[in-house]
Amino acid sequence: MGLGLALSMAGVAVAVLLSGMGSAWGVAIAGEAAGGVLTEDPDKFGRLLVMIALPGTQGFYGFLGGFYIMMKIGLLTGVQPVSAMAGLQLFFAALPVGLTGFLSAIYQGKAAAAGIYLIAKRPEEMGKAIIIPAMVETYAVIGLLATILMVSGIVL
Amino acid sequence: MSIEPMEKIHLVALKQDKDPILKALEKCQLVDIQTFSANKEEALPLEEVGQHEFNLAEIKSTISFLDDIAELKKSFIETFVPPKEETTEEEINQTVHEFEAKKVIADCKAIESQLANLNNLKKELHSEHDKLLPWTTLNLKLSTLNNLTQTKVVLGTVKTKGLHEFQNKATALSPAASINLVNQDKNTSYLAIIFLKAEEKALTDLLTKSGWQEASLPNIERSPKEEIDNIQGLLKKAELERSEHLAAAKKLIHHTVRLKYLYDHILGLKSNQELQAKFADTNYTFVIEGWVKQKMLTEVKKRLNEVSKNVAVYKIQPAEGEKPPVALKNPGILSPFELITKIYGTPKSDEPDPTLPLSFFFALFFGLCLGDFGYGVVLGLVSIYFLKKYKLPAGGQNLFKLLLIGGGFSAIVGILTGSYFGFNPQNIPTSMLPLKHLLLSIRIIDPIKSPLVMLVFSLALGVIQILYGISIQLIHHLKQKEYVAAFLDDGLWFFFLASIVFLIVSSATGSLSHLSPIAKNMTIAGAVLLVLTQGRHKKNVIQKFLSGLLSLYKLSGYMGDTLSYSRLLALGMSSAIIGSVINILAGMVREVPIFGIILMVILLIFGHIFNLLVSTLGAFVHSIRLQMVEFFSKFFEGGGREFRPYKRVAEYTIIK
Repeated sequence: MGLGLALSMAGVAVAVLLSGMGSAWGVAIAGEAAGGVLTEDPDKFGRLLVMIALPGTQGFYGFLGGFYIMMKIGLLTGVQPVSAMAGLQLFFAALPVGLTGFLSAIYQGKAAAAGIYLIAKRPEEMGKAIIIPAMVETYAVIGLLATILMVSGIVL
Repeated sequence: MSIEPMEKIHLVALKQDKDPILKALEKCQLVDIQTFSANKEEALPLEEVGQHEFNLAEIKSTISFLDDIAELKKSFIETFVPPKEETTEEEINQTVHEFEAKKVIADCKAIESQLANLNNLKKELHSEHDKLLPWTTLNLKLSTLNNLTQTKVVLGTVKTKGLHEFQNKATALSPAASINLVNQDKNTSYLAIIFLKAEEKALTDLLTKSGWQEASLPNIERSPKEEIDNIQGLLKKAELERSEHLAAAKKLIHHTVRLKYLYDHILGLKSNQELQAKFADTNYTFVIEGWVKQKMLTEVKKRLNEVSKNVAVYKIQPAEGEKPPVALKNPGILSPFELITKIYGTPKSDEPDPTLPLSFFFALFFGLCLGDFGYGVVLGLVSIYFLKKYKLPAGGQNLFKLLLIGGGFSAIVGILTGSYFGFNPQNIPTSMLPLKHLLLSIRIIDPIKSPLVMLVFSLALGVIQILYGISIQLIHHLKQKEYVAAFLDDGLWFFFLASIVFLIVSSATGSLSHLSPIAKNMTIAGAVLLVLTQGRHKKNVIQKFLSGLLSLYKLSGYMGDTLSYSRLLALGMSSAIIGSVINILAGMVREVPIFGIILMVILLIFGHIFNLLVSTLGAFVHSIRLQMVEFFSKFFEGGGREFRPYKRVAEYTIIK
């Protein structure tokens, strides 16, 4: 039981850590670009804030995946016995959201930076600038979905 | 819903009536004016336009200078929607005649440059001050240091760490040299060294080796202390002067409004000139070419006849291949959804308008992604507040109307899935049993407990939307009388995909399993027909067959599109679960003694506001994406030219 629980905790950690790191990275990339644009035109702050927030969602997806595992093993309500094999399964189930979140957030940050430059030149095209980075996020959403489906299928 | 039918027109009138006619066109905002087709090039009076541009730039920089002086703080909302001055035409005309803008601009420029000079001066004085500060104990006129005959004095610094060693070396080298420590801090020691001129060379070598940094103090008839006092006096004077200039500038702030009027007036003149370059001229008349909505043609004639009797407006045939500009026509409730269509691009003049087809799906998807009763209600209320409180431009209004509609759908979804600010009705204490029973009885599914059902539901919505998209294309092809494309492309694909869905459903559900052989045969028939027909554009039989076979590969595209709708489940769950996590955390901090309740309330409020913002952004973006990527690709290209009627251009003002 001890090992199973430890492995599922490792799963929670991987999901939250990786995607959170990715989001921090991605938001920083977008934020750097926005800082540059704001030196020229501080009035664009509101518009750019939305763009900076875009790569931040992966962190939540990771937290969500981790939370789903926590609920599965009853971490907040009363820990249930987890077999070693089930713990390993939960660990693997955490990987999709962790890894897709990590990479997609970084790349979404780059796409958001490109969108920020678009807004700098043509603020009226903000709609398009938001949609482009959102394309990258799709794969983090799919990763989260895979994690959730995997977790809900595992028998402790 | 559809695209407005357009008429191309010529408008001929006397030159003497030009101004009132342009004014009337500007007011009615019905005519999209284009360059007269026979004009070789636009005869733009470049010099005058350039003069206007110069004036505009000057006024603008003056306005922003005065805004800086006034220290206007823009609110977060105002960065999106800059507030505009409401005024009347008379007021603007009066300003243009009476207001001595040149003087105000010149005054502002003078003050601005003087403020800049003073700022530079202050910077210089500060750096001079900082340079002298360590030397205040040196009680002698600095100029005397340079008037010595036998000896020389140098001022400078060495690192405090190496001071002792330096002193020893210097005394060894020249016993006559006197090394005086003027000032010292942790890192740096400030020294005045007096030595014989004869020994200068040897000493200089030692200095360079010891990391000596010579201090460059001014050659003045004052001691450092006196000079610092002097500088402080100058600084005070500069500060006084600065505040005088600022006060003078503050007196000019009230001109800002009039400068804004003038700016918009000149902007109007400039746009008017650019417009007139598009006209064709004869000796006494001018001709305007443009587009009008068909139903508005009589209205335009009526408005123009009100200002002049000698105006002729008549329809002309568009040139070969010329596409009319596109205006979308949708009833009030649907018009906010035009925003989504326009973000993607204006439809071509012969394309179907996707606004109606996407509207319901967008609202539903938004509702599923946000998926909470409380969030939906709050979002709706916030949207109503913004719509009532602020005078938003059309795009902003549509955005908040979309959020209002989306909030409504999300509230409904929240009731059906049992999510109230992330709170599950299951957890209602038994003391409120009737409420609990009520909420649970109207709940039809708990997505967190049964994600698979929701996943199937999301994918089913995807299948429906994709099939709907294909059928729009089919109907459009029928309307265009492209029957071959309608039946062999759209029709066959629809049949094939529908058969596959039928096959999946019939084999997955027990009660329909007897139908699955039929579905199987239909699917095979569909595939065969596609292989036979999709290569019909190729030349020889083998190519026809191969490219027909290859076309089945498109199936993987449709599968990918369908799977993409799984995001509806993922986003819906993410907002619900984050909401419930906030509630759980709030429940935990409640245990904290004394402050527990306060902490809980703060956490609940900020947590839910935060989740609402993040989830709304996600719901909005991903619902739009599903329309643009998965839905539009089936029937819609975009790339038309938007109908832009001639109207008043203004940056700062609105005519009441």
